[in-house]
Amino acid sequence: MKPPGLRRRDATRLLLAGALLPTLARAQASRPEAPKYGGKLEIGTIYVTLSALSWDPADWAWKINHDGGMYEQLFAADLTKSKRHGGKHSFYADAWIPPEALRGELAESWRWIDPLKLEIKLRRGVMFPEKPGVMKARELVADDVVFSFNRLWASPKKTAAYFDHVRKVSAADRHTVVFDFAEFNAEWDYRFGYGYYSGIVPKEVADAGATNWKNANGSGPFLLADHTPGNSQVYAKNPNYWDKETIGGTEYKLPFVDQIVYRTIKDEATFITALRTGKLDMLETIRWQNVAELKKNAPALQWERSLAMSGTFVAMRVDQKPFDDVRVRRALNMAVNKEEMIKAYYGGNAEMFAYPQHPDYGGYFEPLSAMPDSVKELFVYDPAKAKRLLAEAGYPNGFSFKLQFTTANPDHVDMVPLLVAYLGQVGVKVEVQGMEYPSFLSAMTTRTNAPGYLMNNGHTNPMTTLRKSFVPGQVWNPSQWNDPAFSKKIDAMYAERDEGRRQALAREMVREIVDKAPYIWLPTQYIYRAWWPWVKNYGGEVRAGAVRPWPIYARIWVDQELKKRMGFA
Amino acid sequence: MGAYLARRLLALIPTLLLASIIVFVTIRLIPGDVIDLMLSQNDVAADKKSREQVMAALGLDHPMWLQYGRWIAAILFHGDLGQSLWQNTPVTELLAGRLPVTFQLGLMAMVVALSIALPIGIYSALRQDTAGDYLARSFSILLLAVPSFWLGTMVMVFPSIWWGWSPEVNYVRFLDDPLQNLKQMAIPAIVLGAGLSAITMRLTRTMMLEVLRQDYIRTAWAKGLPESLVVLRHALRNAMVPVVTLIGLQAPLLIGGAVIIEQIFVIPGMGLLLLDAVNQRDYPIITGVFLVVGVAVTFINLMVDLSYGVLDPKVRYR
Repeated sequence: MKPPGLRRRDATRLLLAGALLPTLARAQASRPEAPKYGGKLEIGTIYVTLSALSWDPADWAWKINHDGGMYEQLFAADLTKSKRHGGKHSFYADAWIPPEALRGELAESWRWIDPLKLEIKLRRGVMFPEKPGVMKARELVADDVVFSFNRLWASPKKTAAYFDHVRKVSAADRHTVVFDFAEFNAEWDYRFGYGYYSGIVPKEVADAGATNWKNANGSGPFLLADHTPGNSQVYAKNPNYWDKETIGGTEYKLPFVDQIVYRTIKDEATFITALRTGKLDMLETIRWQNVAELKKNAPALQWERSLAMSGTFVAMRVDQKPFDDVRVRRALNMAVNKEEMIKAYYGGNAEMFAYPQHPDYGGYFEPLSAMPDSVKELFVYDPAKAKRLLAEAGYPNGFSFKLQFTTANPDHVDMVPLLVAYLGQVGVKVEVQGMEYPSFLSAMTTRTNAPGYLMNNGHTNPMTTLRKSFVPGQVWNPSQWNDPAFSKKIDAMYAERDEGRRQALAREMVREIVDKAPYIWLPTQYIYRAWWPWVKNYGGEVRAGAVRPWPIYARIWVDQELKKRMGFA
Repeated sequence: MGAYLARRLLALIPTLLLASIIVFVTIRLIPGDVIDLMLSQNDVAADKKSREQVMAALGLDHPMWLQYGRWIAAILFHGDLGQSLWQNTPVTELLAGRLPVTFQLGLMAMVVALSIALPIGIYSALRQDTAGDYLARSFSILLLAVPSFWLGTMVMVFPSIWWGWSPEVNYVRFLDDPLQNLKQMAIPAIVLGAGLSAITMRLTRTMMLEVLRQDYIRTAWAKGLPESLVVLRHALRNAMVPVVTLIGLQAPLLIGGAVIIEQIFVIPGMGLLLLDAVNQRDYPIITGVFLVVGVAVTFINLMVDLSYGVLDPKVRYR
């Protein structure tokens, strides 16, 4: 039946319009909005609970790259390769830029002159702005790169092995830097090109005192304007920033927003509340437990999620009984119902297998379905087989061991009783010890950790994730894994120039190490991030270098009218 | 009075010295040292030389007694509390930024606590065993039972769900915008003060009841003095001596409570500074904060002792 007054022709038009609507909407959606300059972006970053640790890269404090929006590096991520632009990268990894998504930031081009010599041509016309009392405006040149490297290298706080592979860094001319390597290291681009401490600091800032935030000055998109430790860091737009963004065929000068504010909020309820009420425009770390409530009470939020860039596991000390027996370690893996943990404990917000290699790492990662059966069975709950293996290993009545965990991680506090219960079902008793974080960490670094050690361990990147945990003497090796043959393979991976062969080596090592079960491999949870609709030109990317978000923030613009219309201005 | 004050001030020296030794030594003896934390950042094994270099750079390569001696000498001769191990910033500078914030929060919380405790405590005593008294006592038990961290979280979360409102997280310094600052500090001060008010309220009631039964109060009533005069001039002043003592004893609680409240309401005070410093094992900050808190607490208690003479003329300082 037709509605009253609706003629056949009208009805046809309506039907036609209905059919065309999705197409029109798609066309509208694919046509990018013209960006608007100005406004302020309030961010709860992925490290929202932490204030800046230092303002000086030479302090070797990992967070400088995250806080130092004023410092640029040789390389950064090419954000046009992000999923938002139809690419395959989420740019969520801690400290890894896929080779095909590596772009020059300060480097305009680079080439290997010989197998151990890399020549980098710097971008011309990149300026350090004037900073009264610190420096006059001047161009960033090769000497600045050399100075920054040498300063880092001379720092008493350095970890010497970090740059063992570098023999010398020199300036061939005003815009050419040459890296002389003592040996090839597959992480050469990461270690100084886009690594944690690779910010290019002008000498004038170092002379004035780079640890004082008031002196900080660089060529980056934002300049530090104010710092209230424990509350906020305010960055003002660098009006002389060189980089541009192309949107809808038009080139725009960056950055778009006038001000970036990092909020430091330690309390989870408080930063979730701040997002809900629009006091934060975006929040980069949201545990899955908060997602349903936020989706209900703030339905306009935009969402993205990624598997955590750290693995969760119980490390078992392979240098001690009973964990020196692989059958015991495999038995404990089979005793834990990981499928049930994903469904019941994580509410479906986790995946079975994302460590020690992350799915985002492309060719380095191999899914569980492609693994041999001996690996697959470690992820299948089989208490009967676990008991059989324990009996074979000489523990028919089980055994007891001590498990350390940190009370600083609420997930682990919740998870411990679950693990104790699972292991109890195969006769393994667990004596648990909760520890505050520094004590917990110190137990591992001094190799005095208990036989069982529940922890999260960050990947950093596809090679570091293997080296830092399964090579003797490394800090993050809680199982005290020590296999000379495996260490040799790690060395071979680092020395391998061909990416494909390196990936194959990594895949082979992952198969081997997972199979030998130095850990009870546990599921990896999803971490969410959310932003309000007025945050534009953004798709949930988090890092464009080693914990470095600045190229991402430089490209975001804020639709202030929309914000006002939504009642949040 | 002068001699008494001098003796009390002199007595502070060994107290603070002992406290400083205890804090200086214990923080360095607990597991998890700053070198471990620093060297674990790089995902690359640090050799012995790197470790020694970092220790030397931080001045931690000397025996503990020597480190302590240098630290205390720097304080006594230069007023220098050392430098943050992570930030290379003078501790005095960090404390100068944080101390006024916590002091303001503490002061406002105390004002809130007394504004609740004294009127209700006095009213409750004057109207003993009436419905009003029962209500007041129930209220005080409720405040005692509700921990400030829970109340703070509720204040933070529920208004945001019901009305889309939440307390401000952008800290504004008092000197930059006094009104905005007070607006921001009011809620945390109320949350912190509410918990403290309960005990003070109950003690005020108890002391007032005791004093109101004294002969001189009966005489005052018999002389036909108005209630306000009897209560405020004759009863309250005498009842206040133990209450003031309690207020002095609450000062450390106030600082302890501030750690949690500052965390929930994002107030950059000493509590947050201490929390970060403990997590980073930033020894000079930890010892500096404890020294300042120690001085503040002993000073407050000295003030409390001196106030007895003002409240009760029978008290003499010898």
